[in-house]
Amino acid sequence: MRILVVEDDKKITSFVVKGLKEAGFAVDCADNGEDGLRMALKAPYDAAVIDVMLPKLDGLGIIERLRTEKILTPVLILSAKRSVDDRVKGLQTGGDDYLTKPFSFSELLARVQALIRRSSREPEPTRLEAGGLSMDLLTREVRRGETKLDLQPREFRLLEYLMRNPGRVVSKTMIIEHVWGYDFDPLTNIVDVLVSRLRHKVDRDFEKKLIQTHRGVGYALKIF
Amino acid sequence: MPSRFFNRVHKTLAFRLTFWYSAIFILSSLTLFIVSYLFVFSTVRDNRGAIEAQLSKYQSLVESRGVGALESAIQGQRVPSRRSTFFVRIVDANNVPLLLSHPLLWQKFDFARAPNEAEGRWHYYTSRRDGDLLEVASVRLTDKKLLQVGKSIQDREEVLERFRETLLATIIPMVLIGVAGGAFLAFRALRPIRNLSTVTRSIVDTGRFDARVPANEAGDELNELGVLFNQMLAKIEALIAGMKNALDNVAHDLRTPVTRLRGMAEQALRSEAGEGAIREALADCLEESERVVTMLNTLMDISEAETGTTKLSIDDVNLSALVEEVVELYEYVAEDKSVALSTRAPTHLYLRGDRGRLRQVIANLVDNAIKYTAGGGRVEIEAFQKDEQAVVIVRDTGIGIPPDELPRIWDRLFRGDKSRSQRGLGLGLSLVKAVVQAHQGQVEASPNPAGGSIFALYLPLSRAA
Repeated sequence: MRILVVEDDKKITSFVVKGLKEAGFAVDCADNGEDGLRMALKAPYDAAVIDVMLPKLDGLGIIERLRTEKILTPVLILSAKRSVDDRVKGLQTGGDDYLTKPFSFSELLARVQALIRRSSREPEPTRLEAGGLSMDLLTREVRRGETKLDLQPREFRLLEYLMRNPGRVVSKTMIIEHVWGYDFDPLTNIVDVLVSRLRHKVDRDFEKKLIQTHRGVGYALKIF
Repeated sequence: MPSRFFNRVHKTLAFRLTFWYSAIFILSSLTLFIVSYLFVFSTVRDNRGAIEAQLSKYQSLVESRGVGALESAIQGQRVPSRRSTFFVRIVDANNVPLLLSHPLLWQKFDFARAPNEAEGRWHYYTSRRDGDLLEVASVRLTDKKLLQVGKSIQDREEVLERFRETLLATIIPMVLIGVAGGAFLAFRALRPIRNLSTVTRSIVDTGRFDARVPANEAGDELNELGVLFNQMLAKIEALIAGMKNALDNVAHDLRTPVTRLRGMAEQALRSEAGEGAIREALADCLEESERVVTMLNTLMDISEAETGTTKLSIDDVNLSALVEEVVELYEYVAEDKSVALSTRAPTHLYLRGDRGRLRQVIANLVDNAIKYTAGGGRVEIEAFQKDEQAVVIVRDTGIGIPPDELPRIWDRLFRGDKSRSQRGLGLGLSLVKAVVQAHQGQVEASPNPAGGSIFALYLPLSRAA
């Protein structure tokens, strides 16, 4: 899996590249739009992370060129602008997802992986299995080992999201987006409350605690 | 160089106005002259017609009432006008003149001789002096007398000549008046526009928006443009001031959390603490930076809403669905705290507004209500129509707001004494107020008689519903 990172801030590039490499990706990077475009046109990438404001050629310009050249590499747009208009513009240009700065690396990773998964067009599973949990997406039955868990709809959606990203940290913003379908800053402890309810049902009677809190970052489903 | 100057002048509106005004003025004056010239020409030219008419009139007069009657008729003509002045002569069969009448001037003609029959009805007498012709028609009366009526040709030539001279003499003043009038008119009409461009240029040059276009009393379209321009300037000025103010506020408000952040990092670096403590400090830093971002975003939202730079995506929003969405967000939180969360909203009410923003407003109020209400308490959301507005009430049985703090709760970063025990930025209600006002609505807070607080939102109803 090869990923292209086009970003002009050296610190950001370095932590993104380092993180992606640790997650098992091969990473190339460029610090300006023209180099980025040249690299994207030459080699096939599984995904690209492109900043909007770049020297020489801006991020949206790169995406536009790629799409006119019929190169459909999924693109995650990075931007310091968070207005709905900017987001819509980015997605209309041909970007596949939009992440505003500042972001947590785990969120970037999760979004990149989601993009790759989406573009590889694997058949949707009807069953999820992770860490001794099993979830039937059709009958909506959830079991931990032999024990059947009785989940409410939003608890179910949260667990499904965690099981689709086993071992990976998902942020509060991502959870709000997936469980409630909104994208705004979590106000108080909406997510904490939902997670603790789910944790109560999933982990209370078990020795191994599956749902973990990563302070300041988010939550993850631990796989042993 | 002169050609470039000409080019520039020639492109100005004033030049074109002057040009068109003069052109139209001169053209219409010329047309008037030509038409009247043609009219005069055709009238004067009808010399023979006039003579014939006079001749037959005099003929019938003489034949019915005699020569004496004609003589007195001619003398009775007071102030003979040029047109009605004729040469009239009656001679008997032996060429003895019985009557002769003509203007003194016409003595220059040699009309001693009377024509004989063979010469026909028309003949001419020539002037010895200037070659002028007297055109004369003759008719033999029943008693063999000869009646002659005539008129000088120079008369008509003279009139036409005069006319042409007048025309030539007036053409230069006419052109001058046309051009001067055009220039004056263009100058007058364009004065408000010149003012406008002077003001605009001064703004472009200095970057100061306090200049204003002077108003004139005319109340015409250009004055209206000036007034609108001034209003636009005032609006821009307010916007810029608002944005500057917002920027100052944001910079100020961020200093505190960034100081905390810095302090944590510094302390962790300095301490001899083990890895565990440092990890703890790093996690604190992460959380604090998260809070900084949330704060920054909220401050930006407030400023944008306050200055009116927020782009609201206005739509018809079903109020009960909106309330339901907020309840969905908070039902677990309320349940967790054993606060009873109930709603009462008719399904037919529609608001006019930005769905996401309004949800944020109601969510903030419900968030506060639950946060400051102890277990066993109630939070009620109620929506209804009152007059032309939609009203949303969020009522709680929580700690309430002391009366002296009530007016200040909308201020940025204000946190009441009792609320400090809870986490929060002190920005929620400022955002509520800013967004509601951006929707041309109002928000009020009052104490709940049953203990706790009541927040009421007044928002514009959708007209379509």
